[in-house]
Amino acid sequence: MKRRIEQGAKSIKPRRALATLVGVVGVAVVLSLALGVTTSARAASAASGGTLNIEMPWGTIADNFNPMVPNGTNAGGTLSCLYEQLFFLNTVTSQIVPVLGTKSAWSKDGLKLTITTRSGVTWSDGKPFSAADVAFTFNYIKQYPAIDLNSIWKGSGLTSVAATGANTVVFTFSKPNTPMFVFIAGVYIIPEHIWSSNTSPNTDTNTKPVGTGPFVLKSFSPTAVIYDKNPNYWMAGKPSINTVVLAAVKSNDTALLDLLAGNIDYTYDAITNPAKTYVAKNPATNKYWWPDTNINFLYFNTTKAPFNDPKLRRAIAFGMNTKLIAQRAYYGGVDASNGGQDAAVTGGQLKAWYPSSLKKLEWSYNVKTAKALLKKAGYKLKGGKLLTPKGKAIPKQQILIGGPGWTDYIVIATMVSQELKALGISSSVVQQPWGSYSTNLPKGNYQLAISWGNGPGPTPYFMDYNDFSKSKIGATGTNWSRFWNPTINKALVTYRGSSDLKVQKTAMATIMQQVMTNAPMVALTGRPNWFDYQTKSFTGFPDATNPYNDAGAPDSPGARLLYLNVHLS
Amino acid sequence: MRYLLRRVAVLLLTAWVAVTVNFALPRLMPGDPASNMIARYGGQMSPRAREAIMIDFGLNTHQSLLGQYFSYLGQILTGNLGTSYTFFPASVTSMIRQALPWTLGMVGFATILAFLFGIGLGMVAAWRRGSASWHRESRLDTALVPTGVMLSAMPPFWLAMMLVYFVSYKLGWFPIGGGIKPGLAKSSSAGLIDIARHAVLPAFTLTLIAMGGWILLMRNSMLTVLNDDFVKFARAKGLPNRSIAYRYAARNAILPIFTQFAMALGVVVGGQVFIEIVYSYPGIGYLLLTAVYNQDYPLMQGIFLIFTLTLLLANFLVEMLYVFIDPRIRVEAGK
Repeated sequence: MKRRIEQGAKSIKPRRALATLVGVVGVAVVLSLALGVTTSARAASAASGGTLNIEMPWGTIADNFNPMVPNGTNAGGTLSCLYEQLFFLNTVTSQIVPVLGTKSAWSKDGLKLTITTRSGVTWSDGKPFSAADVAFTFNYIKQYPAIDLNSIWKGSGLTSVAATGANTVVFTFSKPNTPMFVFIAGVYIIPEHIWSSNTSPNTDTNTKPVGTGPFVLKSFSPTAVIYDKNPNYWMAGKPSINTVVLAAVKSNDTALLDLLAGNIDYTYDAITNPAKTYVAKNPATNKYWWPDTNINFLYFNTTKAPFNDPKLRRAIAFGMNTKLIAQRAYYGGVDASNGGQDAAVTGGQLKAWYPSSLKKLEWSYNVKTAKALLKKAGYKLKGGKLLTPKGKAIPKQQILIGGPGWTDYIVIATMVSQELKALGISSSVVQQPWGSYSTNLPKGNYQLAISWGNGPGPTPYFMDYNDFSKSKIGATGTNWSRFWNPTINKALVTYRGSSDLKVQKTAMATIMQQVMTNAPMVALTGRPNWFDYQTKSFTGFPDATNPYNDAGAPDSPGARLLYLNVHLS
Repeated sequence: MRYLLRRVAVLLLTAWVAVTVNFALPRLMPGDPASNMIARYGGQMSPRAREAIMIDFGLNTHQSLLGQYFSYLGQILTGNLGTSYTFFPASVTSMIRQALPWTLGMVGFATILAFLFGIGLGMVAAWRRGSASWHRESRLDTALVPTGVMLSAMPPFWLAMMLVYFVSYKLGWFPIGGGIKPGLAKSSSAGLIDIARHAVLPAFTLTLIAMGGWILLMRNSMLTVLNDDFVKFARAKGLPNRSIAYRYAARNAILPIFTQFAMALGVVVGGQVFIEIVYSYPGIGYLLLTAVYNQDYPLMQGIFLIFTLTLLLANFLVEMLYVFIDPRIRVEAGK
């Protein structure tokens, strides 16, 4: 029953992903083609054919194949089978995978981005694809803000997009904003000859989709969409499978039963205690891979007493038994966080972005240290209750969580409440419906909250920008801890204005140092993608040893790589 | 005529109140749909999509509450119930149109069936009690009354789950859920048979549950009438039992039950939320669940509106019908 709410929540746009260095950096990036490099050699000799069966708890599927509507309102597969982006950005490995774009380069001043597009690509109606289609797509989005789902134009400084040759598109900016590469890379490219006369791009249901993707639409019904192999796909010999069936069921439980029975090959679901309830039933074929792509945080409202004191917040960080929390909430399926640097960098990016000089600021679970830190800061324990340095008892606090049915969050919040009690702070867990939760977090109407990080991307910048910008504090903002300072602001500006990796790393280190010193939030556990698969009929799925995609849902862009790599076993 | 006018006026007034409440309710809810949608994705949807979603949902224009109210009234008059958030860009009307036939077919059929069976059984139960022996209850009546009480007290979802488990899952006689097998065309004969197969269990559940109430109602109403003087007179006159039961007693006993039946028919449109959830039946009840789940206010509003209006209309029609079936009202109305 865990995370029932994600039933409707089909997976998401591309933008969280991308190679650490590339693109953001000014260096011209040349990446050899081939999606999913490692398996392609094997795939060539493997048997082709077969139908990949997928079930998702979508209830019903809309007859809508428009790639420019908000997530999940189009039919599953629109974004993974039919349409393609310039680059796929793998959040798990920080790798840039070229798709319709092959190269990208920033000018020295960071005002001009040149993207080379792939040649030899045709649309599924037989017309050739060119850089003109890319330029059209971006200018079309400019004309219709309702389809600008990545905020490509609004406030980004982008002034023009033009095709300067059959295979070259140039993006011109009025101010340096190199992180924009990530969002540009994630836009779904549409054919100019089909859309140019369409004046309602956000409400058109595009029931005869024409894309460049590896599959074409075969049939639609409200309970299942069937895609057939695109015989003219640009990657020679791919895909190996003939058909993808995306079926909608009413609940996660149904999908899981069918996965266990071997009726389907792939679903996306947070299975409760996966080792026992799923893998153990048939360890040879029942598999899951849940890599972290975000983090579950304990948020402090840093503008309200008592959590406006960074010393108290840091002490609490030492008091959180993240290992036990992860174990209880996810039965070992998800990693615990530790150290504190996670608040500014997600797991996969630590290696590239986290400087060893910050080690001394790390925290780890140790109640003794936590108590010592409290004592040092002037807090006193009296009868099991924590008194502020001024001698006032800390009143009962509330821990805000959202969403009906998110049992993992209920477990996490309950455990946090227990850990706080050990430090002398009493608290209760308050669960609110999404409407209130999503209003109260940005407005700062809370004391403590459990939630995710906002807008993670391929480098730490993306989440840091959302979580610690001064401009993101407000009724609809994403800086929920309301923590910021001029040092952080300056570092964010420096990063944005540069395409030099060294400068960017120093800027990020500054932010990490600020975050670890002030502990505006405490990273508790990872927040993964829930990829569950069954190897009875097919092989070539991504996993921890071959993480060629981000373990996303069947309608996320990463799934396209899966469809290109799996083949009959 | 005055009777008719008065009824129409009451109908319009209630409709207006319902529409106004319908307008106000979602606006009292916390949060805006765009933030809501982003939050529901639990950090997987970029906050950058916010602006675009606001435009898509038509939330970027700042209109005064009064302005919104009048444009809402205008939209309703033209049959435009807005755009669904969950199924964007599908209109609310089209979503309801898709789900309504399923509900009308299955729930409507079951309701009518339950009514006919319930009335029939209730009538017989009361009559047997009355005629077979004046002072001893007949066996049928003894059996029917507790059955009726039990059936009408049984939680529908419980019965539905039991039936799914034993009849569908264990015995495999009927599909576990859904309205039609994926891939079958609704108009084909195989499709129609499949639709019927899918409808059997939910319809059976509903019939069984609803029947209990009708049995009790009809029986009690009939018993009252049987004690009336005109029945005694008919007996004394030596009319045949059948004639007394059907032409005299039942015809009078059924009058108060008609109102209830109209209500039941009105409720049909709202679907049977629990039954439809248990059987994953693609009707209005399930659509309402989806709407609530996704905080899809336009869709919820649309469903509630249809629900309220059909109920009002059903009531109105029954009042009109009374003019024909109850001579007393005809005389009253004619004045």
